[in-house]
Amino acid sequence: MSRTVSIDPILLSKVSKPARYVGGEWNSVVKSHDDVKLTVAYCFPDVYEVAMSHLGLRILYALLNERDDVAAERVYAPWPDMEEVMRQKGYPLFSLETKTPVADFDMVGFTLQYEMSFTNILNMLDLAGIPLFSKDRGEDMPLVAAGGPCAYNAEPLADYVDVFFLGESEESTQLTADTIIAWKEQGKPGGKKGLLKQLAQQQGNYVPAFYDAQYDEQGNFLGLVPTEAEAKEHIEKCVVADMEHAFFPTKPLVPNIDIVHNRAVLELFRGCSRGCRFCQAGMLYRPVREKSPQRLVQLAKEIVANSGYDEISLMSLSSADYSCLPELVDMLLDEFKDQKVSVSLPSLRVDSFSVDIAKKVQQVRKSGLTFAPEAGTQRLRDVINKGVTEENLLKACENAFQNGWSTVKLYFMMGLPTETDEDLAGIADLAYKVLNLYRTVTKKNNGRVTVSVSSFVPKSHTAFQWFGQLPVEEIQRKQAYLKSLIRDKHISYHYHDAKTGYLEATFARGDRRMGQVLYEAWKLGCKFDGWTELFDYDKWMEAFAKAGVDPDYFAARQRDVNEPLPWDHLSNGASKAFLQREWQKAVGGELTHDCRHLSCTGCGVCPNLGVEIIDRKEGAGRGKTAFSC
Amino acid sequence: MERLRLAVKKDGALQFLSHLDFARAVRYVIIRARLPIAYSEGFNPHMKLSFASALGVGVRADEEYLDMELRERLPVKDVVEQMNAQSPDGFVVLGGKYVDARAPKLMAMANYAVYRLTGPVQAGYGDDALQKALQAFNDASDVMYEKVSPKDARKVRLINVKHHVVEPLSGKTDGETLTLRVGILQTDEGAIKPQQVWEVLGKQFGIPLDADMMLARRIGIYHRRGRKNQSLFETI
Ligand code: SF4
Repeated sequence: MSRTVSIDPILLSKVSKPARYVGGEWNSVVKSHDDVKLTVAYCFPDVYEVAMSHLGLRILYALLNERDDVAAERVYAPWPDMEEVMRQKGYPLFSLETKTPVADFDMVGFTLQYEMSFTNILNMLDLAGIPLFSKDRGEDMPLVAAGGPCAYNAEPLADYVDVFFLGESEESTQLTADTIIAWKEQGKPGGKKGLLKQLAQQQGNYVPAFYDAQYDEQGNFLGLVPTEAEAKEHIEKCVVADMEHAFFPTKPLVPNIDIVHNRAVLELFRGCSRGCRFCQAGMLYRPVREKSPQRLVQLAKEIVANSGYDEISLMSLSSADYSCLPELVDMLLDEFKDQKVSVSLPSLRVDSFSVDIAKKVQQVRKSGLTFAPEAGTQRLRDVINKGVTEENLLKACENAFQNGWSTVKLYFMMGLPTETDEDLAGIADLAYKVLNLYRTVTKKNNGRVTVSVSSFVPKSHTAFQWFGQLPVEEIQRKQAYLKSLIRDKHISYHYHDAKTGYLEATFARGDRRMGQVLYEAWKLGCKFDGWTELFDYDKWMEAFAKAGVDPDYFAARQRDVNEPLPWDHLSNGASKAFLQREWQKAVGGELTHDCRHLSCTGCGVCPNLGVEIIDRKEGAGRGKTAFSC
Repeated sequence: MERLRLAVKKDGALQFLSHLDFARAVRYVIIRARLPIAYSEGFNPHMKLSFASALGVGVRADEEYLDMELRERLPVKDVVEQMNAQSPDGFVVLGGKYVDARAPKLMAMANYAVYRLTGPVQAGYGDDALQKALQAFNDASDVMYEKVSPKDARKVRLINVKHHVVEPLSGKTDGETLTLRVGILQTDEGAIKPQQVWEVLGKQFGIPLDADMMLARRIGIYHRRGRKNQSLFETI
């Protein structure tokens, strides 16, 4: 019999947004734990509104719940006001579906979307009454797993997680479930370690306890040595080759409160082959695999009917790149013309074509358009391989202004390799050009340009993984410099906290020693570090001091292209040689073309993983599969 | 256009919603139920849907009313069934009735709400003491509540609770739990919140309750004329 947690509704009604903690959403799945063979708690280390907006967990949740023998439930991080109530009254962390304590599940899975949520993972384990360190967890404790983009540099979490899952889990999740069920039914041979040995042999699975980290006398990382026969030297990600027929949930959870992205989501394709050198997602999710417009319309119909949503968001890493976008948009608008269903595109490419599409889908509401030139000068845009010119941008803006738009948001990054003050001045310059263009085109003075600048963080598995993050003071100087150049009240300028970016960099390129820093930070009370109001940089610096770790060693140090990297054993299929080439080309300002439309540029993902680009328009290329719409 | 009035229930998971969130949840139910709902014209068309009241976070309602405009007249039974088949935990359509297009707006009609308030009370506080306290409240001709503006603490408004609580209060204690039945009348000057009545009873009538710890459940909502409470389905 499973236990349940029942929270006094009076206490609940006192915390902010109590609906975060009660479940009961349309399409949520409630099963009795007595009727299934495996129970999984999917944990998202952030607040409900963020967690519920994440597609990956929704897919896995629906996928596992399709099975009669598995119950998958959701657990999100309680906001500090709720945590206080829970700690005071002794309520353990519980799932939204059956209010079962997290410690009572067979498996507890965390999704790792960004580094700044790591303290929340520790805090959630603690709230659940689960020992933080894997080595301290007994056989009675759940298997703690994690997946998602940050799993590609799993080392900072190596002490806390039993098994990491790399890559796309639609298929491997089934195998994992089967493996655990069989292990349970056989009487758990070898205990948890026995199970981990089985899992370690399956593709994409990394069991950090099966490796020893080695360092030289100076404390430089030398490599990981497997300590168990089952531990592979290289762990390669899982990939779903056939996106068209991959599982996609058509009965989406419908939250009762408003969430960050509260709409139906249609995933057009996975991957992106543009090859921006700063972009980790672009590398991790290769290759591009599109769904057909017919399949997408079918999915959209079912999703709208099952959810009640009146907005569909066309989602992908860069949705405007979908090869059949005009056809798809027409088909969707036609399908839903009698219902009040609108279609939205969250990301736009910097060209006129995407403005035309935006025009079509936003026939009524003209909300602002967003473009991402990323850098202020052509030179720097070439360094980062952002194949976009000033002309592209101005053309797109002109088109937008002629069609009634008056607000344009421009995204940039600061602190990119080789960046100079001239590149920053280029950002201000572009903003002024766009604003003046508005005045020329419309003869009006009510245009608005928003310049949003984030600080660049070097991420693993990218061409820039060797580059050192700039010191906080230097980023702050750059931010102030750019601010001094923007003096028109029609241009608003936003930038991210430099300190957050710096901390992100320590994790993004950290090794196992970051685990101790994380632990000290959590003990000092760090949590929700991605939330400006709760982020406490000084506490983090104290944590580094306590752990005896120099943050600059991980964040600021320019790395040698030949030195062993803490994530060398975790592979997305791309070769290190490719990234090294890209890094050299970057410094030389040399471009690399999009492998989806021209020849393969040799990243290695397709041959290494035995998959192919699937483009529904493009003619047959090198080993590329093509379909027509 | 057909104006259909529905009586619905808000409890379970939905009791913790704000009015805006509750209204959105109902809109999703209507879309899923595929009702021929009417939309306003204009740039941002919205569903023609209105509620009797704005229920606060945490307030359960055994009874709430809403009006919707349909493009065609469907049998009430079908609407109720279709909606209930698409309702999340905590939302139930209890019944419905078509009303005249010129009938007064629900918001204007609904002026009397009856609540059951529950919360902890000091151990050992007996029923005799409670009945005495309630009697004192019921006998008083005026009970003044100082309402401090949440934005500006210097702005204080005096509300006479007795202008709103026009029927005698009743209640009981059960161990450390206090339950009260309170009717609240909305007048031209506005209304008073159940929370405020609870607070007044603690502060001015010596009931040892915790002003912050109370859960309200609305057990009825009516149109009150004179001394008579009439159902919101009666539109004459
Ligand atoms: S292997 Fe070639 S075609 Fe495949 S993603 Fe890499 S560069 Fe593109």
